[in-house]
Amino acid sequence: MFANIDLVDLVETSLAGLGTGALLALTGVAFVIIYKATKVINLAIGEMLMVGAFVFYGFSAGLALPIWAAIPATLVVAALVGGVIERLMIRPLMKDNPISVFMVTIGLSSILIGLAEIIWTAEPRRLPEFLPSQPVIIGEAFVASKTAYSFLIAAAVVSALITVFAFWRGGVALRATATDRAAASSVGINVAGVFSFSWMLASVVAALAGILVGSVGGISSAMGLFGLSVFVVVILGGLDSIAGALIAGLFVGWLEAMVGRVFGGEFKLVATFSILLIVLTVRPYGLFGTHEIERL
Amino acid sequence: MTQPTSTRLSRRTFNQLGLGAALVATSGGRSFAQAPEIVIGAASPLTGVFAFAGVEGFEGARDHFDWVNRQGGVAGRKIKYIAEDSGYRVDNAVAIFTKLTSQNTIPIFFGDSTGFQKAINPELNRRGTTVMAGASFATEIDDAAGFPNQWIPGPNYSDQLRVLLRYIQAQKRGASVVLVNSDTEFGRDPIVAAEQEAARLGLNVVEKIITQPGSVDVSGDVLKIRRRNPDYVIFHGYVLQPIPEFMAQARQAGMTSKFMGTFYSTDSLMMSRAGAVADGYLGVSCYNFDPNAPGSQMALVREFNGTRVRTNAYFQGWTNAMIAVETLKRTIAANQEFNAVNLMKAARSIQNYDTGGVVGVPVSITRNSIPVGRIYEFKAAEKRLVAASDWMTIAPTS
Repeated sequence: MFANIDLVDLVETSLAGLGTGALLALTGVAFVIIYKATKVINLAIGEMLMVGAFVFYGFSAGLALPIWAAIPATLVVAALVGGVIERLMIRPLMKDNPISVFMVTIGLSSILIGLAEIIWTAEPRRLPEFLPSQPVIIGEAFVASKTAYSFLIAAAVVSALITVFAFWRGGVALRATATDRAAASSVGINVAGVFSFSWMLASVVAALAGILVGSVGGISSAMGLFGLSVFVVVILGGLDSIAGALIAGLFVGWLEAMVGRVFGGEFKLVATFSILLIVLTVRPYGLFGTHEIERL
Repeated sequence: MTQPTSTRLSRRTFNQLGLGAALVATSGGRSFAQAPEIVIGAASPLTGVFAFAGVEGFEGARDHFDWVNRQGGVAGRKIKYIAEDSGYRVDNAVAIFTKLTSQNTIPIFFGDSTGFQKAINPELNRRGTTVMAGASFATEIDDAAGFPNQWIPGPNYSDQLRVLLRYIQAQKRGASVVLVNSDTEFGRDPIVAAEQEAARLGLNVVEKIITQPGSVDVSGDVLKIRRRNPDYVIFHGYVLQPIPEFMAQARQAGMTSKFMGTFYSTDSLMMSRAGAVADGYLGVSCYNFDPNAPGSQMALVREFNGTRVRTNAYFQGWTNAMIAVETLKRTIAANQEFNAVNLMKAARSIQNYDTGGVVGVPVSITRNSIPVGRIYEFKAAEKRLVAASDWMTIAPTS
């Protein structure tokens, strides 16, 4: 089983896994941003990613905009979508039981799938090629170009977000709102604004992840299933830890690649959900999350 | 002052009104002399991951039934085709089957998936009233003993692999082959048969890869293929993704392997979306993709669609409808009632049947399937599939 894996194979498989892990981390960060600010567990994050990918498809393939215009246009639309979702579906329920909001996000995922299928049909599609096609060779190891560039882009975005939330006043406001809404409001923080901002920002990050995921694996109305592994990532890393999402995302990506290499692709999700089971049993707040457990 | 007219009805008036009411009530509906419609039901994946094929399959069957009705129906009885969206979910499809068959007498029902057709099989056998065809080409369903009330409108997945492997053997003796299958209900279906056929033909299956369907993470699997550097890579259990990404990354890695696939990925529209990277892709299908192919049914397909290019799923729906109509015709001609035994007897009597060009050779229902296939090559520049082999028939003993 392990005998036919040499060092180059190990390195190549690990790099491929880290490439996917970076995309998991990026999507995980989008999830964490919302949870951190609003305490909403957003089960529609995969579908928000899917919508972002389809909007990019619409701009780049449908309207034939150049990539430098299609990406910003997609991110603007994504921000609007996030804002509208928050204003119309989430904010009216913020004083309700968390389960109500949680259930609304499940409904939201169905709505987003339906909208995507109405607008773009359910046919799978390919995004226009916009990443360099030359493979990256590290030593003797081959890394597919999309894997390498997706990793670099995702790593840069996550690093920027970590920095921003650590030092920017908005990041402090976001953390304060998450900790105690009443106290945050009493010191002049616009809590409603923070809610809107967090959904808009998460939607933008998810759309960016959707563009990258779609550029590798194509797009379809079912690509929100990518969110399944993302939930494992955020539970492993901690629901409210951006750094946790980064580390857990890379780990889960690497683990899935190694399990796929050694045991076969059918065991990837088995490994991922085994990790989920262990974490929920041993450390339900994740590796880096706040030590606070709420049963839903 | 005039007296008000009496409102009491005389017996004669009452009888006249009753007769009139009865005539009015029946004149709006179908006349007693008109033969009742034959209802054909369907659970179609009109939304969800398989909707691209579900919609095409639904439209293929609908168009053929429309044409049959325009010709006067089956022995004077019009076909009423009722399809509801299953979303490619077994529980939904079962619910639709139960609902439609409780509301109508349905001799023939079209299923949406291998999962549903396997799940409903015991109920189908218990009822003995309804037979089924659908979207599945599962090898397991191609068993007249285990699935006595179902047919498949083409070759089963194992036979599709046999056609591909025989083509490979004709191109390069002793070629090395990697099998890439999705981890789905039908993805693993033909692996054992493919290995046996490859061994019989002297081909070497050097790697078997199972992936999640539509997997994003293909680079690890591409690395496995790269190490084997096979002559041919055969995909099964996918629609589009991740085949183009496999091909793109394999080309980046300098591989020269040829890529092949089974029915659902042998589609000019899907491969056109993959673009130049799909040039030279070889797929197996039992339908005729030549836009100028001769034959009465191919002429009808053109009449219904003009220049619109239809996918293989459309032809699958059309063929299912064609077999359904022929089955009904033969059952009526034999003066037998519509039940599962009589209908399947009629379906299995379809031997050396001329499909009007939809399949390029006369077809026979053998076991439960039509074991005929042909290799097509995708030409990216022309965005179409062109025949790369003759029609191949797989003998039932293979």
